[in-house]
Amino acid sequence: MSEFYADMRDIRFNLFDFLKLGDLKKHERFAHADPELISDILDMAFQQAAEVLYPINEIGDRVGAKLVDGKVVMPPGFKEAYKTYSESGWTGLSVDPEHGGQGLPFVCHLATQELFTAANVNFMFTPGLTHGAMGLIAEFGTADQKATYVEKMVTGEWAGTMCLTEPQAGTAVPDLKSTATPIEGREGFYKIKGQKIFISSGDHELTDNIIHLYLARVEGDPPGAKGVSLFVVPKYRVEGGKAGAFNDISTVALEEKLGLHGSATCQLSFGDNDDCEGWLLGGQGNGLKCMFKMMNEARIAVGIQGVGLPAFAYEKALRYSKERVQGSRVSDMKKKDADRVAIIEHPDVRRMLLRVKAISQAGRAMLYYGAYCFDNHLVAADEKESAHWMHQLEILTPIIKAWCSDEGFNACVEALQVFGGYGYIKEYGVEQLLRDAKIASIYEGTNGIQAMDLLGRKVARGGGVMMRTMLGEVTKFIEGPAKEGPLQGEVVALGKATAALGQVAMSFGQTMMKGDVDYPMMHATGFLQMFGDVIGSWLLTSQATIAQTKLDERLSAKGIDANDQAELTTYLQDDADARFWHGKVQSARFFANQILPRVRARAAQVKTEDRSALNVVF
Amino acid sequence: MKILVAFKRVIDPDARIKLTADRSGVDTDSVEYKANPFCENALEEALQIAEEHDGEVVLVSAGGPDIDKTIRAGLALGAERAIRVEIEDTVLDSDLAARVFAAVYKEEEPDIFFFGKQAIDSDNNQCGQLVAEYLGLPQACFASEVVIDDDGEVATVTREVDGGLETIALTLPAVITADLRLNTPRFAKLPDIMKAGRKTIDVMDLDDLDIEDTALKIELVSLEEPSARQAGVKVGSIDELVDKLKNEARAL
Repeated sequence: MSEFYADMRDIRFNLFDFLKLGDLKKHERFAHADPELISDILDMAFQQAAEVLYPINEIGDRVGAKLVDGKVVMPPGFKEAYKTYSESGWTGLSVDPEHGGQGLPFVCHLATQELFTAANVNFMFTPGLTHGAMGLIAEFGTADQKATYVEKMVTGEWAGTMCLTEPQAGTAVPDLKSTATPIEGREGFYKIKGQKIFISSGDHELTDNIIHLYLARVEGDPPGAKGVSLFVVPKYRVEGGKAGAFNDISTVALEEKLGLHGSATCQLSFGDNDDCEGWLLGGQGNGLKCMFKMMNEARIAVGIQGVGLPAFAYEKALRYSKERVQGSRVSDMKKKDADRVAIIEHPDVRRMLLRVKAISQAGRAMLYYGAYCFDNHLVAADEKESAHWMHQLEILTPIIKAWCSDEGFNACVEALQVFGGYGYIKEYGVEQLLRDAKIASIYEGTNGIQAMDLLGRKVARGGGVMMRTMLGEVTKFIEGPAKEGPLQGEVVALGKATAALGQVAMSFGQTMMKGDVDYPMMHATGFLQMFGDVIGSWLLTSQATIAQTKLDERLSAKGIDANDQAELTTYLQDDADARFWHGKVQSARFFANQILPRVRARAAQVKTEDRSALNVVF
Repeated sequence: MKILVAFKRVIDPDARIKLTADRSGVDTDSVEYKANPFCENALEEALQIAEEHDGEVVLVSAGGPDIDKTIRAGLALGAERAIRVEIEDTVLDSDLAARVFAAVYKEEEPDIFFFGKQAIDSDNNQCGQLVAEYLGLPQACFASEVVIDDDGEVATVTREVDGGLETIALTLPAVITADLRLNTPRFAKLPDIMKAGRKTIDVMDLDDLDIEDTALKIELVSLEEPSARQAGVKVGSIDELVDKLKNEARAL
């Protein structure tokens, strides 16, 4: 039916022109991370996204994962694709070579994951969760635990999951009822019993074994967060390095969902016959601490969905709008027999397209920048430098998760709108992207939780050091050479928005000091969106200044007059690089002028001191 | 067993291309390149044979340093090393390319020299045949199946010919050109992409290879873009359609 497309130019631009990934090579840890090599890897990732994952995307949605005789059967083609994906070594891209990975920067991992996610988000649950679960064992596991599991998970031979949620314990994880009872004579091993729901890739036949990471309370431990411990609970017990006896875990049901039909969302029952064994990971009572480490990675991964899906929806909408002929130009409306034109000629369609593009590009810039902060923290010269990068990543994590997933979903809505009625039917596949994208604002901590994390924890912690560090970077740009450059109007707008954000944060601080937490928290979601808008505009405008320079060089080399719009338009049609750079500048302008003004509107909302939502009696 | 594979890059077939103003060639600013699909089949077959017969696969390509990217993609798939013959690839015709490859053959003395049956840019379908002629080697073009005997002395090749399949046996060394149905090329694995950067690409020039006749036998006169598609017409009835097919299109 349709093909897979991705904006490889923008991905490369982010990595090589904006983040200047080549500079990481000076550190021993990344000495092998040649831009040329990374570029080759991106090509390979695109090829597999297009040729292995995308061809089974639609069937994954239509057929879905099924529960047959108590076992999950994945959609046709998933098993073969999983084999190719795993054998290609994608899971190990940024994993430490000590664990069998390639040790490349995390940001490269994200770039490849964005492509795979856009091509088939349903498929990516198994490798994605395996990567996360493997990371936890590698970080907190004993030597024995690492030797037993890590390499097999890096190669994809075994898969992994995260078992947190129970029917009565969703957002409130510590309310869980799962229990762990020490097994006499086998230190570290426990009998596990409990029910878990919403477990992605909780069962499937893609691998010989599935390694569940399971939260439970050891018998006699205190209620609440402190009594929660983490366990490694394999589907089949490991005997001599191989999957052995069944570990008494059954799949009770599969959820029927709005989207993600090709992802097996399982209700699992552990220890129905009192024969399920788990291995304590990371120390008794440390379950939530360990899990948080994984959650941070998972939140970034959700950001990938909030970028990859709208980015692909944009590519689809763009192509459709060039083919679909409806009506004549608005300026020709009164003409008799005016030419019929493709809908991309209509101003309202152009607005929608550029909006989806600008949101996707801002999300991508934010996501990659966050990962780049992580990479830089790994190679920081001292603690001060390390903190400089980690403070940014910590404050960006809830923003990447929530801003990208909310705005990304809305961008999918807008991309579907470009198709008109053809978007609402299945033929073009854009409705699937919309359905699949919705979950991202809900799981791994709802976006409401992210907003509370940002406002309640991240902004206040350490006397506001994270926010100061992050906005310090933004201010450096606002006050740098760009304020004299061709995008000075956008830089000024960013300056005003940043000031508004700072003032709102300050006023919330004062309100909270007076003991009123409810009012700021009622605005937490709005605050997170303001923050995301500022970060998005900062990154897009910085990128646009680089793109503008490159564009000017190309145009002057070719003797094109940039002020002659007709000549420029004609030229850009044939020069894909120049068209891309020019497009980057338009995205930044659109964002700063059409989206960023929301920041000041939201600041005004906060100022009203309107308490209706708190006072209303429902 | 040593297998030499000619590996050519072509402009991405999905890209929109434009001619230079003087129509002497394609404007290569901001175009992307990929390996010629038939060359990928040739390489895949060579790799499979090498795996089965404990052999070595060597790539050979002609062009400037900018073709190294395509060569590295081939090395990532499993070729052990590569030879790049330094020449501007825009001034190559099939004959000069064949002379270059024949000279490389003499240096390497492989058991099999694989080619794609043609490159999808200029679609000449000449190189493999010319190389076989210059070297006096047996040739099997348009291969859809290749079986090498246990001793590594005979290749049994099924060829796709007009109206069916022809199976022939060749005494090695020989030239074989690959058709699309020969195999499904594999995907590169991440660790192999990493290793590819460390594999050797030996660079030679025409002097190193003692190629005396470097004259081009084909002169490119000019290039034309395909004419734009004409708008269609709606017909009112089947009779009208038949009439148009008969009298206007003269298709009946």
